[in-house]
Amino acid sequence: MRSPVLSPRQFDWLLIAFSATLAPHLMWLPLMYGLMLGSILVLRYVQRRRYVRAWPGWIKFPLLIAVLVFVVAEFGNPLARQAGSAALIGLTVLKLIESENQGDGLRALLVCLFLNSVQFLFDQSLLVTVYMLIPTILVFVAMNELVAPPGTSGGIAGEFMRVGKEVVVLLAIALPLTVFLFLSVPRFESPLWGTRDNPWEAKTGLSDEMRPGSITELLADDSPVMRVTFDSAPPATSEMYWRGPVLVNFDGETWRRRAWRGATHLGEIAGPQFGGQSDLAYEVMLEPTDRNWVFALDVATGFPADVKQQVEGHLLRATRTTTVWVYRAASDLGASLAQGPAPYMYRRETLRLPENFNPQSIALGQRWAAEAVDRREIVDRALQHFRIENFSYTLTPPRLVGRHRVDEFLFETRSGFCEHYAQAFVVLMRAAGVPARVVTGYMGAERNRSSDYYLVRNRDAHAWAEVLLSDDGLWTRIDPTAAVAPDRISLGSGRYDDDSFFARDPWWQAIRMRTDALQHWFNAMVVRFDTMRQREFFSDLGIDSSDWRQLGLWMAGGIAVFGLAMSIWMFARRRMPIDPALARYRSFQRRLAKLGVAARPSEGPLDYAERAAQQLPSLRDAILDVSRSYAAARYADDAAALVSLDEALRRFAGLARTPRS
Amino acid sequence: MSAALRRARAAFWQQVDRRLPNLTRRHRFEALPIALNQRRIYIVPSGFGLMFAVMLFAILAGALNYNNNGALLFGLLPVSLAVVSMHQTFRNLNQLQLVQVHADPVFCGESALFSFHFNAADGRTRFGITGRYLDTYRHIDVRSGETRRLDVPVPALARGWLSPAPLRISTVWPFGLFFAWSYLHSQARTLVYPRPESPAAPLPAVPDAGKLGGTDPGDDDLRSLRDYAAGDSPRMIAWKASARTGELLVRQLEVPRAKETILDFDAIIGLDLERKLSRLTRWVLDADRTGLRYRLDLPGQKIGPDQGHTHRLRCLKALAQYALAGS
Repeated sequence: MRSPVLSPRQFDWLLIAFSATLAPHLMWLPLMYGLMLGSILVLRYVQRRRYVRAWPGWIKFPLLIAVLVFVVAEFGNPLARQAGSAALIGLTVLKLIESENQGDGLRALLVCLFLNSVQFLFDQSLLVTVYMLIPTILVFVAMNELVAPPGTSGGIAGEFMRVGKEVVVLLAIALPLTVFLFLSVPRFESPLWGTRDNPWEAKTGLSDEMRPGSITELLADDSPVMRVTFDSAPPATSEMYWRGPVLVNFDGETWRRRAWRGATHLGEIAGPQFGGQSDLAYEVMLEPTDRNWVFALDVATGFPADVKQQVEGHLLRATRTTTVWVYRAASDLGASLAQGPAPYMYRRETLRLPENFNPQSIALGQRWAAEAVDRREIVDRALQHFRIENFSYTLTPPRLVGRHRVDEFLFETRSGFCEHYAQAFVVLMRAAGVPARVVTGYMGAERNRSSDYYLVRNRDAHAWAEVLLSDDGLWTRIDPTAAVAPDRISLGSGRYDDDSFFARDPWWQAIRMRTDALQHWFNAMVVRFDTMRQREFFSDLGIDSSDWRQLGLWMAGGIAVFGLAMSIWMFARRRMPIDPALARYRSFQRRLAKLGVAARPSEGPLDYAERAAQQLPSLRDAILDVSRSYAAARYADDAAALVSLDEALRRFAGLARTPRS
Repeated sequence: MSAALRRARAAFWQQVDRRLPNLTRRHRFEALPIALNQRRIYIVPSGFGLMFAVMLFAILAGALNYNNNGALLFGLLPVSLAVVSMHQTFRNLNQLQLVQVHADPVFCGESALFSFHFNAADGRTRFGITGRYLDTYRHIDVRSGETRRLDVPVPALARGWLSPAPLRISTVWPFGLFFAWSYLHSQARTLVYPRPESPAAPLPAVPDAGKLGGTDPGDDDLRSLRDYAAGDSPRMIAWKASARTGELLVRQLEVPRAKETILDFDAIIGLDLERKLSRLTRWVLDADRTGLRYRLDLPGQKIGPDQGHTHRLRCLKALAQYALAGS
């Protein structure tokens, strides 16, 4: 049988379901691509309203080429998953422009379900997860519309009130069943194919180099980087320096990491450690960064097994963090980092400055070096300089455009943020002969009062400096920004330089914290629910999930419970709504039966009344009255008759109660 | 075959009939009302349901492989919805009730329109109920408290009592993932009258009108000619006119406007039983239309003389049932 042509209403539902599916993908799809697909859909909608026909090949074919060219141009490798997803979305849109019958529509809806799942490769946040209920439900509503035979109503969309109970039952059983299955389905410890490394979940975050403006973007980014729960009393937020990459090489414009040429292990000083007794221990839930960085408070003394500590103090993981990752770490906040191997060579590198850049700054540094007795004094001099020379902290500094940017900052604009201060400070130190390096990372955190953890956001990105006060000493942290803007350090990024209503309103702040706490909970319970957590969950229930028989028994038991619930619902019969006149008449019949005149199944009400009246002559009039009113109420569909039936029944009851003489 | 074996076999089929009336379709003619229940509703995944399963399998495999719990959650949700929808598909037929079947009598060769009246025994609205009779599909919603009609044409191929074959009632509501069906073989029948003969032979003349036959209407008067019908006397053929038109024509006797006529089965000669009944049916209709009083003489029964609607129905009924096995 040929698939029937979609009615306008069915087509509308198909488009609605698809649009809801497409919406979250627009967040990662290139804008132009999204606009192109969106306008194709709008045109298709307008066209289908007027003419029920597919688009001809001479339109479809160029569009197909356009989609493919766009995907390849934008994402490169057409086999990569991001490109694959973009292509699938494009092809589905093209499928919709030729979808005219039910079969096409249903297949498109199945693709929608697939795209709903693909969405989670790009975003697994709580908000998006909750949103995904909408396209999922709309796909099912559209299915319901599409499979409705012609001339009948689909039910769910059109007559929600009528099927409301069915929908409630559908969700009331399906949602717990989903949760049950989610908890029970065994997770694979390792993938059956491919790797779990999703490079396409890339997030903007701290980068491994610092060039003018590279931190600015981060400072406007409220998205979370990590959530930290301390085992014991947390330190003051002004002491929370989350160490990231250390930048040594400067070419006049960009700061880069030192390349540890030759063997990578040269850069490592320690394998996994577990921290001292007195160290601060905490658990970090790291959002995907698409880097192999591991953030810990300075100085890290404990970290997980697949993490290595580098000579420069930061931690690196063997793989990149592509989904939310939870790890434990410990730190000794009072410690300093020792110099690594080949200290002489390293010190020379941390003194090197690009030639023919920033002559004024170098001259200033050299002057301080000549006047000072030791390195400590030089450092103090520089900090003093920032403090008294009218420097200011701002997130929107004037742009530095010339060749000598550090000069420009130190002697002209004198306003900037951590990036500028750290860079200028290190340049001054090196000019003065003090080995110095830039450390990037995050500074501070926001305490979430509703569930007592600390949230570090991208806007907490920070750059500070480390100097060697003596050639055989330890690296000492100097935060020049603190000299200029102590508030940034003591209050954190959120309170500084932000006068907007949202930043100040305590009510709004509280909401923000609660939402984030929810996200934290969601990450822990849902996103991170893996083999290990599943095992924990089952062992709490007293089930060993590695034993498939126990797991099977649990699954079978759970499914049986749901099956039972559904059977009860399925066979629970509702009584036919009884006619009010009939209900009254039945009580009348019962009364008469007590008086000795039981109705015979073969008798109509009037015959029965006749017989009863003969046997009970004293009630004759009342009986005939009731029967006549009943016949009128039940068969003549007369609303007034019901009232007279009630009256007749009352009369009859009154007479029947008096003993017969 | 021993009697014990025969008894065992009969018991077996009786059991099969009782438990699986649809599957075996041996169950003939059930009394109304027929309420569908779990014993006679069958359900399988539809073609779309199988595609759905393949797609969901792909989603779940991918989600598990990449340990993506969001994708897993939204793969399991459709699975759960599908499982619950299976029960809803069943419920959509369960306790659906065929309360009445009606069809007006028809003439052989026409289609009898059988109306199957459905309501919901438990008062729940049923959506998207499809009735299939042979190649005819009809779709209805049965709203709570309403009785809905599902009309299917049943070709009447032979005179006598016509009973429709089992009607298949099916549904894919709510999502088309499952297909549930049940066969209804109701005790419904309608009468099929013999096919009225066409072209019509003239009504027989009144018993003493033979004398009028002497007048020759004139060979060339085409108005008094009509098409030859099997059984016409060769003497009545207008040979000249037939040669001219290329069709066999017979002379139309001027039938006087008599008040009464007799439609006599035995007076028709040279035709088989069915064609005789066919001609009589035509005569009954013609006589009724022209307002004659007429008497139908069938071997063993005489109806009338009378006229009017009731008389016509009595005659047609007698013709439909004449000499039928079992009637």
